Amino acid sequence: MTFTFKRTITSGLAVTAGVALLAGCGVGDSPGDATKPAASTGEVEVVWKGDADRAASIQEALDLFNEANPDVKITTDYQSGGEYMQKMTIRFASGDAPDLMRQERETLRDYADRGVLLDLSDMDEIDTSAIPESVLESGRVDDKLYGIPGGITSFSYAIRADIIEKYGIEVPDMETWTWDEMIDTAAQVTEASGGEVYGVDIPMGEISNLGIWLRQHGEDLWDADGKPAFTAATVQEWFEMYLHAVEVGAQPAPDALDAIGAAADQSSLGQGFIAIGSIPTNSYAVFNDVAGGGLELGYYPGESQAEQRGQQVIPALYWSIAASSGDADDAAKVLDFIVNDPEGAALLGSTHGQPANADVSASMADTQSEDDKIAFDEIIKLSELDLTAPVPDPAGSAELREELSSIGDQVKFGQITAEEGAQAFVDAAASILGE
Amino acid sequence: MTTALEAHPQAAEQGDPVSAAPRPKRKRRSDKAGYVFLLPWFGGVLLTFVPFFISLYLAFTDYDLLTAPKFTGLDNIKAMLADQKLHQALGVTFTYTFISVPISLAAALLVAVVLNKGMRGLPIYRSIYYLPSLLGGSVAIVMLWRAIFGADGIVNHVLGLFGIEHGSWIQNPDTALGVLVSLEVWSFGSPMVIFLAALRQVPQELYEAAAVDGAKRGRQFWSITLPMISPVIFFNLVLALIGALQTFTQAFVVSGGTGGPAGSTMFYNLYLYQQGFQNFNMGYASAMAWLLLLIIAAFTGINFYAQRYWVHYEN
Repeated sequence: MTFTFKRTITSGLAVTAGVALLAGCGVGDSPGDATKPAASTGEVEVVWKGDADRAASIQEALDLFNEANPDVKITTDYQSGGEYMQKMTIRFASGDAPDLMRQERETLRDYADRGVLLDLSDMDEIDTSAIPESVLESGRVDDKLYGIPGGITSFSYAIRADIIEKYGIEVPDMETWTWDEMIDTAAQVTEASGGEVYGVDIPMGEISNLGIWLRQHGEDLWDADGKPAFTAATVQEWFEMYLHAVEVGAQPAPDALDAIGAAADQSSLGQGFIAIGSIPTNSYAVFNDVAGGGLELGYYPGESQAEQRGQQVIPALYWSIAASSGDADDAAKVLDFIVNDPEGAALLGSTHGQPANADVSASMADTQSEDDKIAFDEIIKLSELDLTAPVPDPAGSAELREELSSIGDQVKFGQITAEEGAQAFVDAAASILGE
Repeated sequence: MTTALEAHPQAAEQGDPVSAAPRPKRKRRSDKAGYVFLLPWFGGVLLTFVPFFISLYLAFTDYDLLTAPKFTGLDNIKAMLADQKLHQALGVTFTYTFISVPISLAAALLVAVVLNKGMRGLPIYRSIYYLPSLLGGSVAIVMLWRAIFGADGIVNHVLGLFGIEHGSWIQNPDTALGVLVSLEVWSFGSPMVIFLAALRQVPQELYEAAAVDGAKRGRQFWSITLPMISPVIFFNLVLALIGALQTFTQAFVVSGGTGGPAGSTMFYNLYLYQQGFQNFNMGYASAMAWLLLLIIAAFTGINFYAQRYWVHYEN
């Protein structure tokens, strides 16, 4: 060997190892205190979650606002997907909170409880009179209003009627169908198609779907105080219902489908791998578009038989103002414009759900597409029923969501029984939300 | 003076006033230039060490990112001892490390030995085998891996030809980690290139002498090649261990950030990320980062200690 290996390698390793270690540990950001108000900026930064298409329509609405309010300087930023809230967290942590922001159901309380959002109930700029009280209530924490619903939606079941009819199977009546009926139809589809199409994909590990099941059984995920409000027995029945659906062939084995993403064109339902599934009601138009027009929208199974309906009309998102905003008054003006102004709110369109303002919603009826109208009618139909009013998701609900997903996987693959899974979820909820 | 002029040509150009100045002063001047050149390094030190020590402080706090950190002493460490998910994440990470590192190093060495035969077009083969390691950690390749091992992927199509039915390799908790190991093994190019360089350094006369003594190919490999390149094996081993313990991107992309199915790809760093950025437990995440640092330091230390028993240094 012609060079001194030992020294070269030892010193080289020392440097590389050191750098690698530091890189691995560089997660600590400079600790900031996002509750402190910033100096007045004279500007309003609006941030939201979404893609470039949504950005274009929101920009149009903001331009319209600027025509009437030329002295407010608006800057914008947006991010699509799950990274949105992580980006927001970093911005708040580094003292760079935006003025007006989209807030999610799962994280409203994470922010509100820590005092970084402004109480909007006393802001004269914001008119909430045309927003249904039950929906508005879901933005309240301890009588303080931290988020104005930017649109309302719900979860619905959707059926690929085109696929089901192709195999000569009767499309069930979604007004009155039961879970058994749904599973039965799904099993027939799987069998008739020779396994080409599966009947249904029940989102067993998804917390909103479990919530609907719990409410149908007189329970709920959490009460108004954010404490767990369900029993292990009902969760166990939910898991067992899923396992039964797999057993009879209605539901594919857990590793038979790859969910690449939640978007309509990536979904099993949109691509026709399954015939029955759950979708956000306001996304009906995009799903039906991908599905080629054969999609029917309706109630969850078991709704009409249950002691209490499980479906809820919920905010699709909230608009919140940071407590540190240097220009909260102008931010409130912008917020009011995109929620209440007939033109401004209309520009935000159906991707944000049905406008929360009932007058705006009614005025949009003439101009919207056929599919959007179907979705909106469904939400209106739901809101006229006797439903449980939503309460804000408690802090930690995002963590609980992950827990259910993981426990659900273990039940699906038979690593634990339905009973063990139910108990594990009860324990997780108790440790995350308290008892 | 002539030597001084040669050593400082600038001084000669600038003429008498400078060269006539007292020596110590000129020396200080050149010191200054040195420090100026070091400035970027000091900048790097600040960029690295400030967050480094802040994270050490945060490890002993309850910090939710939104409000100021509160000092909580050893609470995070106590919580880590009781945290089942953390222990599970450590288990996943160790399993992955202990399986993927030996396999990928063995694969790298095997290919390097084959390529060392001095075949025609060696640079081309070397590049081809090196390419995956440039891509392995990238999001696009992980997405490709998802497609290959998905329910309707190439792997299942090939298996289908033999009448074997199999679901998605990624959605199944028993096989998801294996898919990630295969990705790691596939991107062995970087240690392979280093092995190849080391193989070429082994003096040819050792083999000639061994051949004269009647040693066969296998014996030559065990008794000459392996000891001679053992410092490079050591080098690759240490780097691969550190890299594997820090795995994040592959797991994040394959599981969509969830560590699923059923926590089977919940790597330590992924859990750290979830705690810090999704569950608002940045203090806890910082403590986790320091635990990982200690674990990596321990593994590296053991490696350095153990090398005296198997690594052969020629000089």
